[in-house]
Amino acid sequence: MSTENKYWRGVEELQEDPEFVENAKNEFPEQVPVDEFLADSKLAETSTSRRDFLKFLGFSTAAATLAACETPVTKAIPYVVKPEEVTPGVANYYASTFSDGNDYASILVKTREGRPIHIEGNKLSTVTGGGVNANVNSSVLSLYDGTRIQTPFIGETASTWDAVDSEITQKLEEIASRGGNIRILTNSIISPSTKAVIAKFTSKYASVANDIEETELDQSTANVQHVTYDAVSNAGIINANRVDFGKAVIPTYDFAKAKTIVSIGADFLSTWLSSIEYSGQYASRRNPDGEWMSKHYQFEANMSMTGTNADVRGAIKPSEFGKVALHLYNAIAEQMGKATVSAGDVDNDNGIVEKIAAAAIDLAANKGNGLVISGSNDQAVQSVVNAINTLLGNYDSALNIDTSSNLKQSNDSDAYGLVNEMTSGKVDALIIWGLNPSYSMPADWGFDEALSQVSLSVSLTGRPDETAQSCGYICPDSHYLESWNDASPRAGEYSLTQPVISNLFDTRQGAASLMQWSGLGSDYNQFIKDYWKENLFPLSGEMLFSPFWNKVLQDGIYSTKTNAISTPMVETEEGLEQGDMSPLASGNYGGDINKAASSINGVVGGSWEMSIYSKTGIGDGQQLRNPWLHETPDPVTKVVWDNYICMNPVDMEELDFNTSIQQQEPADVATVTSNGQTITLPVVAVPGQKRKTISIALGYGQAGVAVDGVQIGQNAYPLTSFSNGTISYNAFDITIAGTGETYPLACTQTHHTMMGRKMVNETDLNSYKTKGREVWNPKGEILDAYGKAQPFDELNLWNDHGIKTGHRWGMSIDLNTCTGCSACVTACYSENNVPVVGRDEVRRNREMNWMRIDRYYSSDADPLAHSRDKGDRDYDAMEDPAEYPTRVVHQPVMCQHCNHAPCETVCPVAATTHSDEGLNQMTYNRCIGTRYCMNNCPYKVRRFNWFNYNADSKFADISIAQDDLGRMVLNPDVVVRARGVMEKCSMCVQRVQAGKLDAKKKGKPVVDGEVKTACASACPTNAITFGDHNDAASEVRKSTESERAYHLLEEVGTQPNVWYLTKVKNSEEMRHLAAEPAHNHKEENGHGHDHEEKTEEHS
Amino acid sequence: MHKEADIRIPLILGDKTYHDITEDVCAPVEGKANKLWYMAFTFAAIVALWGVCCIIYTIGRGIGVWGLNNTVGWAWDITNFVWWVGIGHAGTLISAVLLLFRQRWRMAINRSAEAMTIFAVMMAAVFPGIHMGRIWVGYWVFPLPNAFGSLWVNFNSPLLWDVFAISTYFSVGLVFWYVGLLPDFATIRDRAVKPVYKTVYGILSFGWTGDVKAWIRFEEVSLVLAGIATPLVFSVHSIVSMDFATSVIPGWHTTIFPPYFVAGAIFSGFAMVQTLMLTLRKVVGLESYIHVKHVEYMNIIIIITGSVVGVAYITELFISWYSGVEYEGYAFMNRATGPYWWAYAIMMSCNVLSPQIFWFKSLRTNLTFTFFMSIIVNIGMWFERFVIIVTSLHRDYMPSSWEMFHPTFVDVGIYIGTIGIFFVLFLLYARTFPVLALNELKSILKIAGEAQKERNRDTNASTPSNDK
Repeated sequence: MSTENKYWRGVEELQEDPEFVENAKNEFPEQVPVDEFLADSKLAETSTSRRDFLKFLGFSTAAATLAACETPVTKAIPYVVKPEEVTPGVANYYASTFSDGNDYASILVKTREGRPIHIEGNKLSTVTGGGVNANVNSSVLSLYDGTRIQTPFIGETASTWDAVDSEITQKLEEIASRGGNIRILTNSIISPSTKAVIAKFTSKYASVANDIEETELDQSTANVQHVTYDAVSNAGIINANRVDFGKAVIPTYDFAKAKTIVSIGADFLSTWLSSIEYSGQYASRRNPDGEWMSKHYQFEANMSMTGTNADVRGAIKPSEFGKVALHLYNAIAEQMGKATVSAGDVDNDNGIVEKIAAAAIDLAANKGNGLVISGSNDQAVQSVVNAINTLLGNYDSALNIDTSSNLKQSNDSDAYGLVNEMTSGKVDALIIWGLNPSYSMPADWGFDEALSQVSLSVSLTGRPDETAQSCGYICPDSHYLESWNDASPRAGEYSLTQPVISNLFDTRQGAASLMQWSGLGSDYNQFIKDYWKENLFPLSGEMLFSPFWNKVLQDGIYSTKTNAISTPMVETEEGLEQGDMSPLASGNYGGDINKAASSINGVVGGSWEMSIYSKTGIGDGQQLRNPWLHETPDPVTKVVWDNYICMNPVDMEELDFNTSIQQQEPADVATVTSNGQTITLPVVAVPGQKRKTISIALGYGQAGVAVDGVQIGQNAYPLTSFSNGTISYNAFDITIAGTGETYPLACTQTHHTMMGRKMVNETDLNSYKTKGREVWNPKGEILDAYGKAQPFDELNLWNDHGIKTGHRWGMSIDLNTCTGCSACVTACYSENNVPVVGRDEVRRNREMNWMRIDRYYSSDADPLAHSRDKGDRDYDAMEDPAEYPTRVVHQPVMCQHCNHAPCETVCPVAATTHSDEGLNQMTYNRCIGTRYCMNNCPYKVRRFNWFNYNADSKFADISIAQDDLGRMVLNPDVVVRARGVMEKCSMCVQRVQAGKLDAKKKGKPVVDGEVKTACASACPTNAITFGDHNDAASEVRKSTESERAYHLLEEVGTQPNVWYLTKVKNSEEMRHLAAEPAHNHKEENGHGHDHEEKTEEHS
Repeated sequence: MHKEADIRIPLILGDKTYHDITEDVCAPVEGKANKLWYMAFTFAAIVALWGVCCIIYTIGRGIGVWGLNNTVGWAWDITNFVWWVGIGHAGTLISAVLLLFRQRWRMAINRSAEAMTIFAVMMAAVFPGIHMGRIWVGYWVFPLPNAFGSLWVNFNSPLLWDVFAISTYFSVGLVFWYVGLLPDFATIRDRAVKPVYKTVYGILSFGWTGDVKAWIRFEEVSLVLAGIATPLVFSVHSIVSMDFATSVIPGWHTTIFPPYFVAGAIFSGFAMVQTLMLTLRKVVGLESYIHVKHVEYMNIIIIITGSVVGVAYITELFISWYSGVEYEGYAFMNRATGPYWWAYAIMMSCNVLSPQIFWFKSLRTNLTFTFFMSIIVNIGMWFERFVIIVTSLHRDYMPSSWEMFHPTFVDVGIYIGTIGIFFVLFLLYARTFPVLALNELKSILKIAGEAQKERNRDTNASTPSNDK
C-alpha cells in the first residue's frame, strides 16, 4: 500500500455519491428477486415468470447433475528424465538366465518401456542353444503375479526389512553363540555366487559357535549346514554314481551323440533334468536326411511326451523299471559274452521282451554311441543303467561323468535326516529357500510337525505357500527378473541373470538376505562381480575385468575353455562307504550289479501300481499360479487346468469309468490309496498307459491356488515315499476305487485318432530312403474338366493372388522334430496377448489359443482295410485308439494362411482379407462377428471372442487383462481384442512389420532369419521355420522344396502358406496307402477321380 | 370368367351372404376378445418376454452365453433362422403362385398365410442380427457409404446375398400383403362406429374408395406384385441354401441345396399354415371358410414337397457315397450313424415317412390328425436344419477339432421366445386385421359357395344354371 496510485470504479466513487456508497455494500447492485419467485403472493405481478423459474430449476438440476459426473482421469506421465536406453515403441532385449532349481535356460528378455513382456531363448547359449520351454517363457507372467508376498512378515504381521533383519540376525547370533543348530534348506542352487554366500553365512555362524577354522569343519557335525532337497529329486542318479564311480554327480548327456537311445521312464524331452538342452540335441539327430538318425526306445508306465516321440515304445509297470534294465543288461552282456545277472520276469503284454532284445541289438551294434537312461529315482536301477553304459563304453560320448551337470543336487537322505533332527528338537533355526517342503515332502515325514519344533523358522519364498504360513519370518524373495544372479548349469558353463525391472514389491532376493544376515551388506550384484573377478575372470585371459564383465552380461553366457575351475557344485560326498572310497577313473564301473539286481528283483508289484510324474509346463509346481501354463494343454492328454489319474482306457472300461471326456460327459472320480495316503482325482483315458497302472502329475493342489474357489488339482507329493535313501515316485501296491462322483474336466481335444486321413503324414526311415515320394508322400492330383490330371495347386476356380514378387511369408513345420513340448503355444500366448479363458470355457471347447498342437493316437483298425477306396470303412473301429498305440503324433496347427482362403470369400464385410505378402489378415475393427469364416475354415483355427474377456466377471480370476498388474505383460504391439470379433494367428505380423522396417532403415533387404514368429523362435528343436518363401535362398523355401513337404488338406485347394514335413520314424516298415494296389471298382472303370472333379468345381 | 363345377366341394360352406362374410370377418375386430384369446395372448406374451430377456442377455454379455464353440460356430441361431425363413415361404407361395395359377381356394387362407410370412420373416431376421458378435455394427452388412472411404461389403459372401434376398422378400411380401388389405381395411373403416377406429382404419386403408377404377387397379397391382413375388419364393431359400452350398464344409458343399431347400421351405411353410389355420378357424369361428377342402389341398402339397425333400435326402446320401470323397462320405455316414443319429432319425421320420400317411384320404381330411401332423412336420424341418448345420460342422475335416454342440438355456429361450413373439404378433393381427380377404371371398361366393352350389344343383334339376 505504499503506492500513491488509487483507482476508482467511477466518478461516483470519487465523489462518494451516497447512493453509490449504499450500493457498494451490496454484492448485487440490485436486489435478487428471490422472494418474488419463491413466494406465491402477487404471482401475477412478479417480474420473474413461472417460465423463468422452470429455466432456473432446469439449469440448476442440469448443472448439479453435470457437476456430479466425473470423467475418468487416465494419467499418462512422461519421463522427466528419459532413460537413455528406453525409446518408446522400441523393445530392448536383455540377456538373462532362468533357473528355478528345476529348469534352466539362458534367455533373452524383451522389455518395452521398462516392462519385461516376453522371453525368448538366448541363441548364444552353448547349453540351451536358444530353446526355451513352456515353463520358461511363461515365467514372465509370474513376475506380475499380484499374489506374491509383497513385504517381509514377522509371523502374520507385515513388517519392514530393518526390523526383520535385526530380529533374525539377533536370534541367529544367539543360537550360534550357544552352539545351536542352524540349517539352510534349499532346492538345487546352481549359482556359484549364491553357494559362496551360503558358505560365508555358514562360516559366520559356525565360527561364532565352534571357534574352529572354517576348513576344518566337519560337515556331519557342523552346527550350520546347508541341505539340498528338490521337490522332484534325481538323487538316485547321484547316489548311484557315488557308489559306482565315486562321484556324487549327475553326468552331462549329449543326445546328439547317441545313435541308440534307450530311456526307461525318463521324460527327457519334457521335464527330466535339462530337457530344453536335450530336446535340441535329440532333434538334431531326427533329421532323416542327416548323416544318421538316432533310434529311440522308450520303456515307461505312463504315456509321456518323450514316449510319444519314441520310435519303439514299450509300456511297463513301475515295478519293472529295474527288471527291464536288467534284461537289457543281460541281452547286451550275452551278445558281448559277459556274465549275466538274475532278472525277474516282466509282463510281456505289449511285446516288451522283443523290444528289449531289439534295443540290445541296436545298442550293441552302436557300441560307444548309445545312451541308456532311466527316470527312476531308485539307486539300484540307476546302478544297472550305469553298468549298461559302462558295458557299452558310452561314457565320454553320449554321457560324461567328468563334466557334471549341476541342475539337480538333491540329497534326499540328508533332507530326511534334517526332518528327523527337527522333529527331535535338535534344530534351532531353519531357513527355507526355493522350496515348499510342507507341500512337497512325503506325507509320512511329518514336516509340518517337525517345523513346529524349530524356534527360528525363516522362509525366503516369494510366493505365499504352505511352508511360509508356518514360518516365524517371511523374507520374500524377488522374482528372477528383478534379481541379479549367476548360474552354472554344468561344469565350465556359466550364465548371468540380470534384473530387467526394479522390484515391484518390497522384496529382496534370497541371496541378498543371506548376505545381510552374514554381515556382508545386501549388494548381491557387487558380490557376484567380486566372485567372478576372483574366480572366473582369471580363466578368461582378458586384461581388464570391466570389459569382460560387460561382455558376459551382454551375452548372458560364459564358457570356460578349460575345466580348470574345480568348484564342483555338488559336494563330493565325504565318508563314503568302504570300498567306494576313491573316485574311479571314468568308465570304470565300481558298483555291484548283483547287489543292485537282488534289490530290483526284490520289488514285488501289487495288482495296481502307480507312477507319479512331473508334466510339461507345470513341472514341480512352482508356477502353479500362472494361467498361461494352465491354459496350455498337456501334450499327451490335452487336458487343461487340472491334474488327474491317467489310466488305460481298457482298464477304465473294466472299472466302468467314462473314457471319453466331453463337454457334457465329465470324468469319473476315483480315490487312490497308497501307503495310507489317499488322493481323489478324476480319471482320464490315456492309451498306451500300462495296464493296471495309473499315473498322477505333481505340482498341483497348492493351498490357495484356486479359480472360482475350486482348488486347481490335487497334491500328489504326499503319495511319494522314502526308500533306499531316495524319494520314490513309484508305488507298487495301491488300491483304486471309483467314488461314483464326476468332475467336469476340460480337454481341448476330444477325438483322438486320425480316422485314416492324411493329417500327419508318416513314413519309416527305410521307405523314405529306398522308395520314391509317390509311395510315402504322394502329390495329390485332380482331374480337370478335360480329364487331365493336374496338381491341386494348379487348378483353381479363383484368380491367384499376386504373390510372385515381393515377400511371401511362409512357414514350414517339421513333424519329425516337433516333440509336442508346447513352448510355441505359450510363446504365442505371450506375444499375441491371447486371452486366457479358464477351465469352464475350455470345457465348452472355446479355448483361444491361436496355435494348438493336435495329438493323434494310432488305432488298432487297419488303416488300409479302412482306406478311402474301400466302401466298408469301419468308422467306429477307427475312432478308438489302440490299447497300446504304436504311433502317437503331434501336429502344431495354426492359421494356414491359405492363398485361396475359404474364410476370406464368406465374410460379408471383408474383415478378413489377403495381404499382398501372402498373409491372411484379420481386421478386428471391421469384424462384425458372423463366425462364417470360422465355420468355413477347414483347419478350425479361428477363435471367436465369445465374451469380453477383459471385463466379464466370469474371467475375473484368470484374465490377465483384468488385473492391473497382470496387464503389464501385454504386448503393446498387439491389440487386445474386443468382444464379438474373430481372431487367429497373424503369423506375428507385428514382428514381420518390425523386421521390414528395420531392414528399410538399414537400406537392405530383409535377411532370412531376421524375422521370426514367436513360435518359431521359442521352438527348442527348430521344428518351425519361418521366412520369405519368395526368397529362393531362404530356409523356409528350401524346407518346402523338400520331398517331405506337404500341405494339410491340400485336396480342399486352399493352397496354404504353411507346409508340413512328413514324419519319418526310425522303426519297422509302415504300409503306405499309395503303395497298395487300388481295388476300387470305380478306379477300374476310370471314374475314381469323380470326387476330385467335384472339389475342383466348387473349391 | 371362372366356371366352377357344381360337383366340386364348395369353397364356402353354409348359406353365406355377402353380408355374412363381412360380419364374420369383421367380428373379431369389432367385438370383444374371448377368454381363450386373452389366455393365449398372455401365455405368448410371457414366452415372448422371456425370449426378449434372453436376447438382451446375449447382447449384453456376448455370444458365449449360447452353446456354440470353436468347431460349431452356428447352431440354433442359424437353424432357427432358416426354419423361420422356410416357414415364411408358404404365404407368398399361396398368395402369389396360387394367384397366378388361379387357385381360388387360396382366398380363404392367403391373408393369414401372408401375415404368417411377414411375421416369420421378422422372426427369421432376428437371428442373423443377434448372432453377430457385434450387433451394434451390424449395419455394416449393408452397402452404405461410410466413413472408411472406399471400404465396401464383400459381394462374394453368401451372407451378403442373404441380406439382399431377405430384405427384398420381406419388402415385396409386405407390400403385396398390404395392398390386398386396403379394401378390407376400408370395409372396417366404413363399418366403424368409434371415431378412433374410423380414423385409424381410415389411415390404414389409404382412402380406398371402392370405385371401379380402384378395383381395376387393385387387380392389376395384385397381378404385377404376384409376378414379382413368385420368383422370390424360389430365390430366397435358394440363396439361404447358398450360405451352406458355397462353403467348403462336407455336408454343406452340395449343389442340390437350392431346390432341396425351396421344397423344404414350402413343406414347412404349409405345415405352419395348417397349424395356424386350424387354430384360427376354431378361435375366430371361420369354419365355413377354412374347411376340410383347404386342408386337404394343403396336405397334398405337403405330400409332394415332403417327397421331394425325401428324394433330396436320399440323393445326398447316394452322391456322398458315389463321389468317393473321403470327407463327404464320412459327413453323411456320421449324420446317419454318428453321435447325432437321433437328430437324423427325427428328421427322416418326421419329414419323409410321416407325410406319406397323407396318401390315405381319411387321414388327410381329418383335421385333428392334420393339426398333429403339421406340428410333426415343423419339428422335422427344424431338425433338418439342425442336422445340416450342426452335424456337418461338428465333425468336418480335422478329427482333432471334432466336438459336440450342447445348447444352453439362452439358445432354447431365444428360440421359444421367437415363437412367443410370433404368436403375439399373430394374435394381435387376428384381433385387428381382417383375417380373411373378405372382399375377394365375396367374388367367389357366387360360384364356389355352398349356397350357390345348392342353388345350382336345385336349378340344374330343372333348368340349366343361370350364372349371375
